[in-house]
Amino acid sequence: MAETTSPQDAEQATNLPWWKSKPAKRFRRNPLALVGAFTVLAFLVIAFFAPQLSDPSRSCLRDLGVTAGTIDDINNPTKGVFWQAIFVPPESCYTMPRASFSPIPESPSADYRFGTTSSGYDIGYGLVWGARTAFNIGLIVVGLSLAMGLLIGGLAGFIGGWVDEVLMRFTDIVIAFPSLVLAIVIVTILGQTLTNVIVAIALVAWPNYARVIRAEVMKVKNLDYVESARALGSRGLRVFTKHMLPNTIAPLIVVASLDMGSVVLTASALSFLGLGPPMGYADWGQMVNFARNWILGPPGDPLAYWYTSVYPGMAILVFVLGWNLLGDAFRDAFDPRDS
Amino acid sequence: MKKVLLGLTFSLALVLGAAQAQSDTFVYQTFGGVDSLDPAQAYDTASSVVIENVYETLYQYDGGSVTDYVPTLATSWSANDAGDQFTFELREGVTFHSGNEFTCADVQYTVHRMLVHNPGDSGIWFLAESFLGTDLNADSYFESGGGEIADYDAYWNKVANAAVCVDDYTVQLNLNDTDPTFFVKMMSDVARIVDKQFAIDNGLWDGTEATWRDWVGVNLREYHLHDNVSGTGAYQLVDWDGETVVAEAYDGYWGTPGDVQNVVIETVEEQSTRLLAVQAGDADRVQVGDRATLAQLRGAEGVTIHEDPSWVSTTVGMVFFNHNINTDNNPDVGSGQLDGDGIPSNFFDDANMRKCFAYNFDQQAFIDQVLQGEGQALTMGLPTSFLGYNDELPIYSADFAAAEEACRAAHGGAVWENGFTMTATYNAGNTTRQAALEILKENIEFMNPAFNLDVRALAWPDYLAYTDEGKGTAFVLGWAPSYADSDYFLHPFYHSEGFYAGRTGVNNPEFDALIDAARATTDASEREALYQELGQLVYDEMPMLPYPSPTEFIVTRDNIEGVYLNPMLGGQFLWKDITKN
Amino acid sequence: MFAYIVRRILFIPVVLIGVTLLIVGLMQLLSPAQRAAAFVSSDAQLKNLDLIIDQYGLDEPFHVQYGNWMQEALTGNLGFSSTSKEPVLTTIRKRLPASAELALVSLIPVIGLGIALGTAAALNRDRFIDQLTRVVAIVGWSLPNFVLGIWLLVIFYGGLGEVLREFAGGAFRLEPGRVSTEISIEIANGTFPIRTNFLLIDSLLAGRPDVFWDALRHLILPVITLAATSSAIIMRVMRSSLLETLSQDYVRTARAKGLTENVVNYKHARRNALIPVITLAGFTLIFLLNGVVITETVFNYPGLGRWFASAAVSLDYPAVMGFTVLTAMIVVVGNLLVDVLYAAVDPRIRYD
Repeated sequence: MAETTSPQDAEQATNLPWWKSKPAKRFRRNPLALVGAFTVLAFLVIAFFAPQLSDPSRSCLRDLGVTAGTIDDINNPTKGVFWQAIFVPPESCYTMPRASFSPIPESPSADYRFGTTSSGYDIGYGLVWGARTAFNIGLIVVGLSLAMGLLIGGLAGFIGGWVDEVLMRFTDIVIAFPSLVLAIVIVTILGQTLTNVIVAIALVAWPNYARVIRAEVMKVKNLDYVESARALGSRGLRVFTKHMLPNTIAPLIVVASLDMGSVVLTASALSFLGLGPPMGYADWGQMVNFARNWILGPPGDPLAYWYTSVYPGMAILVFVLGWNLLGDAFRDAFDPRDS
Repeated sequence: MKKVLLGLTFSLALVLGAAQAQSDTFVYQTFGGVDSLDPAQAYDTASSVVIENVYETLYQYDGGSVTDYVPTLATSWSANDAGDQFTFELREGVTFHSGNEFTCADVQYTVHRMLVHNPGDSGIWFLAESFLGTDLNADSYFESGGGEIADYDAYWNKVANAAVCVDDYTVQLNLNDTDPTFFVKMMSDVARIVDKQFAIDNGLWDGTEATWRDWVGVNLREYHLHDNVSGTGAYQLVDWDGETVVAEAYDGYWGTPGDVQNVVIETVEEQSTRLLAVQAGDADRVQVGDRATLAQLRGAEGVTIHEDPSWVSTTVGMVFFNHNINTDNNPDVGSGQLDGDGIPSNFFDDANMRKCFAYNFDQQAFIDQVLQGEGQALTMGLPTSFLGYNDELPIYSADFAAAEEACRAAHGGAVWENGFTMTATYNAGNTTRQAALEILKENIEFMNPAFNLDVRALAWPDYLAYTDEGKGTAFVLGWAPSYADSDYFLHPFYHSEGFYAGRTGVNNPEFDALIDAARATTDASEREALYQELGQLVYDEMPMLPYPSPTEFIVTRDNIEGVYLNPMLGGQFLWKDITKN
Repeated sequence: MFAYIVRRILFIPVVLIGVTLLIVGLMQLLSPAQRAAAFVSSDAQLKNLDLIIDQYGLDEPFHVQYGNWMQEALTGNLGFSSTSKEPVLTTIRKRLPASAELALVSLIPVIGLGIALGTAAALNRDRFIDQLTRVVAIVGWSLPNFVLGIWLLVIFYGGLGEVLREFAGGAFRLEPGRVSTEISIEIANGTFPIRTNFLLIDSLLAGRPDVFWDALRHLILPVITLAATSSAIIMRVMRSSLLETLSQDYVRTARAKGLTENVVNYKHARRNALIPVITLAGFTLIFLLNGVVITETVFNYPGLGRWFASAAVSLDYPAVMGFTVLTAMIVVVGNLLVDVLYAAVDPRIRYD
């Protein structure tokens, strides 16, 4: 193979598996990295086993085809419905069950261990399924913006010239624009659904990826081995995917993990402004919005409804914090200057 | 350093002086900003709160009553036998805030300008209907094909004839036809008298035939009266910056002046902030979203919650059933067939189907949970205090045997057999409406596992367009009175030409006959009988389902006295009637 | 350099046209009835939906609507905001200073805190202080600002409100809004003259320390919210920039010359490390616009952000257009200034 001089291959040439590489070592030595990784992992487990960790509502059970007699099947890994609930839960499972229609929140009880929000929604259920919503939003947005970033950054870097100039000016504008402002405009116009929230955030989140990809492509483009690969007749796309892309992986991991946090923050801010998923959808931002009218307790007991804002607020904080710690640690691990 | 300290002490002293709460200022914190201060443009509660205190009508409601009236800018009135001509004797010696004297010319100008402008988003339509026989302004009238009025000249003649000055202090108002509701219509905000000279001096329509066509349907928010006021009210506007309204007592007021010198209305969207403000004494009155919120206020020192079981809200909330659903490209009707996976266009055209839903609605659960026990279930779509409300009629509520019977009978049994799937809608953010639908859902789905009733929220813009296209299946809207007459509710709700008809497909000749008959007579007892008969018919047919009305309350500081509740006032009471000790 | 600036300035109208076209284009995805929502706030107004659509020209085709808007905009009329109930330009003139005041005052703690923490972290690299400041910064960065804002209100306006009121008779109360009611009456009836609409400046011009303090204490909680959530980027950049300079030759030389550690750190290294921070500050201001939307909503602060948030929700598109055009302008001009500033402080940078 002609490409043995690529840095990627050079590292592989020492025959170290990735977990023994320098960045991996640096990562493991960083206690904050481990805290971050653990936090994210914990949320992942909660999100994955959401159907087992909560008592689904009646419509959710109905849509899963579960009757009163077969209700235990959800917790039984040998049954199909166990996996169905995990991998393809019906939309109705994302709706928090209601304990009542009362606007007054209920404090934690045996039935509702985390209490209920205003309008009687089960906070515990919302916390568990909200983790799923957070991952859904985060992963899809990151995936979409990655795709857009690849396309725009890749084209700009690879073709260069005026294409680069135009695309990067456009990127500059989008990146400089306050992302929340743009997202608000897009969501109100497209309509207030979860899908549109995701689309809107992706439309404002891609420039970081485009920049990173362009920068790496530009860096690698003129290296000898790429030139030689070209000379040997490798086609553009192949040069791009085989030689340029691998170099972008490290910085992309950093951007993506930091983005997971900020995307969820933006989404919850939108929900807070009333621009999120529909009422009752398990979504932490919306739960904070529910708490908005109930931050004050009755006279003499000002913190009586603490559970309505503290639980979802902490959920957002810890989730975002986990990703940020992780992203920060990745950055330190990959960045040789800091080593 | 010493100098700095001295300066600090000095400024601190100043600060302390200013921080003393002023006892002659009434601060009202509310949510939802004022739309416009022009009576011919505003059509929302927040604007009413200001307009009703700075402008006056010829007569007004007496205190908290909606049936007793007292003369204000008029001193007496009379009507001819046909009930289509009204004569008002006007009060002398009244001056506007501008200093201009109030005469018949101002009343005439007020009537003329409302009929000429009549912008689509204003509340003029019901007065235009009385005066002209159409609720449209001239441009819209002729664009939409016209009618009895031949041309623009004829339209102007009708406008000019609507208000005629007999002398400086006598005005004659000429209607298109008999209208038993006209007198109370003249007590609505639209009919508040503006200062002709002030308006003309500041660039508004000059009141002449030569220029009237330039002023048809204009957006009055872009003109001087939008944010400037010269009325005859007890308070005059100091400033409205689009958010905060500041007013002060008008010392040239003809009647008993208000006790409170300054009034400030602050728009505070965060409810918690308002609650804190009234507890801290920063606000003298706060608007509170719903009764449940009182849990955060009861027992608070210095705060009074004014309430009275008779203060049943005059806003009627309604679950509308669309008798003729537009199923084109409609996501809420499923397959569009009675095959269990959808509903057909005429799903709610069958009275049994509607009753099947109505018997599943648990009125008591709604009152207990949503309204915290303080509410009133309605027999028909009319506020309980209005003429002709029939409180002897039974109310559809959680009767599952009757519900099953109606469901089984509906559509020849096909519904019970096959089941159905549909989605009901409400506007996003309105939790009361959402609860009404979800209570229905819970019981209906419980009754027959093949019944699927989903509930979804639509953003307000989508909701507007969606119901306008006739796509709403079962959907929730409310109706609040602009003037205290039963026709204002019964016609929009039940008449086939009423304004909800396009959204609900309600078309019942018997309803129409009763409502039209009541419009044609000025005899109150005759009207009452007609409306009660309508109530019975409505019970039998169950065209739409009213849900319980909440009982109102007012939250103020405990040093505010003279509080009453008039549902026809945006601010429930007039500022001039209260005192602050 | 000059040619570069000219080119960038010429670029401004292109951006503005692009942004406005985008918004008008997006609005076309809505039906006329949906666009009417800006004028229909109550159920009662549903009555004349068609009339309203007609009256405000909501069913005109794309190019006509855009043409109308452009034509008006070129004569200095950005349209009428149905949210603020006044012309868009009037609202911007009134509210921009309020938001700018909030953002600029926030910039002080944001940059100050960022630089201080960043320096402390870099100088104590990998030691406890470094770890601690980084954790603090990341936690701040992760805090949802609306949650923080609400919690601050609960604590300082709610729980501690009574205590603060008793202490010095209310002079130290932390309450939402921009000024207290007494002062807003003075502003309304003209007793307190508004010149710039920056209350902190107007109060000094009018010789009114009480108003100055009143405006300042209303800024405290929103500024804390903005600072807590925005200092982290500055801190991060300051830290790595300082680390980089510390490892450079001239610093090593200075150290070798026997200069004390403090002189080296503060005089030589830090000054150079500030360069990227200065440029970042420009971006931070733009970034603060994000925070301002939420913060103003939570603290009931009458600025542009709150107006925009409610305008967007009710599809008040002249307002949305006006605000976006303004933001785009700030962004483009801000970017340009940052570039120029960058070139000025760092002679190695040349634009062509």
